[in-house]
Amino acid sequence: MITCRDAQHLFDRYLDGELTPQMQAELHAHRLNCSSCQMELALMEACGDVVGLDKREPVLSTGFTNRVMLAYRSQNLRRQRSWRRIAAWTMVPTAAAACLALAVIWQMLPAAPQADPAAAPRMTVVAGGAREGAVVAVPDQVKRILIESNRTRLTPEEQRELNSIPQMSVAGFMNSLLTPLARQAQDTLDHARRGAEDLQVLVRAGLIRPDMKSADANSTVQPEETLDSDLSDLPGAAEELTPFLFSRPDPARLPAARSPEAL
Amino acid sequence: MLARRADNLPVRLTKRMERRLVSNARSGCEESARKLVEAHKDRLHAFVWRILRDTDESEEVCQEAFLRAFTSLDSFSTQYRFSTWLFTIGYRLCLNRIRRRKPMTGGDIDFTMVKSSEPEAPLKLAESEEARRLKDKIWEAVDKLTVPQRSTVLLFYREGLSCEAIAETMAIPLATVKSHLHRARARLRDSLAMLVKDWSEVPSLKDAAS
Repeated sequence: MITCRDAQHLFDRYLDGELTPQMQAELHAHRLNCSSCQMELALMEACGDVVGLDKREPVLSTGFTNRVMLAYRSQNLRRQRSWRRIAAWTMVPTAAAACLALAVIWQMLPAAPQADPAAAPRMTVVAGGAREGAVVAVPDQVKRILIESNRTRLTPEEQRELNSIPQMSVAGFMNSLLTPLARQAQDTLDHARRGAEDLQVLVRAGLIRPDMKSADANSTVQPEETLDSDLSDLPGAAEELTPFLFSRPDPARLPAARSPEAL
Repeated sequence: MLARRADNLPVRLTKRMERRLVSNARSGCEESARKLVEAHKDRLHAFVWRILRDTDESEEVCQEAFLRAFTSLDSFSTQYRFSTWLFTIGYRLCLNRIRRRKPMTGGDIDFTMVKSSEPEAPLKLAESEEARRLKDKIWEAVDKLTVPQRSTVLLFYREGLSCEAIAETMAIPLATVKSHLHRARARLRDSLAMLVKDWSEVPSLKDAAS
C-alpha cells in the first residue's frame, strides 16, 4: 500500500481525472485507512463542488441581449457606411485615372499602315504558314544581316512600316527572298536557250558566219573558249552550235538553206 | 468525486448546433446571433464577474466580448468551439481591465447584495448558515488566488473544460494550466486548513455545496 506522501502526490492527478484505474484503486485503499488524507482530499473535492455549483453571481440586467444586438447592428451600419465612403473616395478617382491612362495609351498606339494599291508588293510569301500574297516583315536577324552587308539604312518610315507588320519565320523569309531570284534565273535560261536556237536558225540560213569577230576589234575573241564557257551549260545547245560556230561547217551537216523571206 | 460539469446549469449547445448558428450568423441572420447570445451570456457573465468582481464592469465586458466575437465572425474557424473563443475574448478583456485598475480584495465583497439566479437559493442559505459561511470562506480563498489561477479554477470546475481547452482559451501551454491548477489547490488547502478547525466539518461542507 502507498504512503501518505505518495498519496498526496497523486491528489492533483486524481482531481484532474488523469489517474489510471489501478492507481485510483491504490489511492482509495489508502483513503479508507488514513483519515488525514481522506479529509484533505474531501476538502479539495468540496472546494471544486462549491466553485462549480454555487451560482451566487449577480444576474445580467434585463435587455442585455437586445442591447448587444442593437450595438451589433449599429456597428454593422457604421462599417457599411465607411465602406461606401471609402469606395466613393478611392474608386471614383481610380476609375477616372484608368480612363485617362487608356486614352493616352490609345493615342500612343502606332497608326495602321495604309495600303497603297499603286505600290508594288515588296515581297510575296510562298511558304511559312501565311497566306500567299500577304505582306510580312523581315525577321530581325535577317534584316540586320542584310542591312549590315549592304550598308544600307532604312528610313524612319520604312522602319516604322517594318515594325508595324507581323514577323515571319526565317525559313519563310528565305523562301520568299529566293523565289523571285530562282524565277529570274529560270527566265534567263529560257531566254538564252531561245537565243541559241535563233542563232542556229540564222547560221543555217547563212545570215551569220561562224568566223565573225566581236564588236570590240582589239579583243580577239576566242570563240571556242568564250562560247564554250557561255553555252556549254545549256542543255543540248552546245553540241548543236559548236560545230557551226567555231569551225568550218561541214557541208554535209548543213540543213537545207532557206530563203531569208522564209525566216 | 465531484461532478465537474454541474447538472443544474442551462443546457449547453452541442458543437453541431453551435456551428450551425455561427454559420447562419455569419450570413447575417440576426436570430442566430441572438440565440448565441442567449446561450452563452449567463455563463460568460459569471466567469467575468468572478474575475472582475464588479457588476457594471462585468456587464460591459460581456457586451464588448459578444460584439468583438460577432465582428470577427468571418475569420472564426468553425473547427473550434464558439464558446471557447468567446471566453478567450472575455478573459483578455478582463485582463485589460484589471491592468487599468487596482485589484480588489476578497473582503470587499458583500454577498448579501448578490442576487442568485436560483429561486430556491434564499431557502437553501437559511437552512444551512454554517454551509453558507464555509462557502463564503471558500470563495474568499478563491478570490485571493492570482487572476490566472482563479481563471483556471473557474474554467475547470465551473465550465467543465479540460486542461487542453483551458490552455486554448487562455492561450497558455498545457503545462502552465496544470501548474496554475495545482498551485491554486495548494493555496486553497492552506487557506481553508486554517479555517477548518475540525476535519469532521468537511463532510457537511461537501453536502452543503452539492
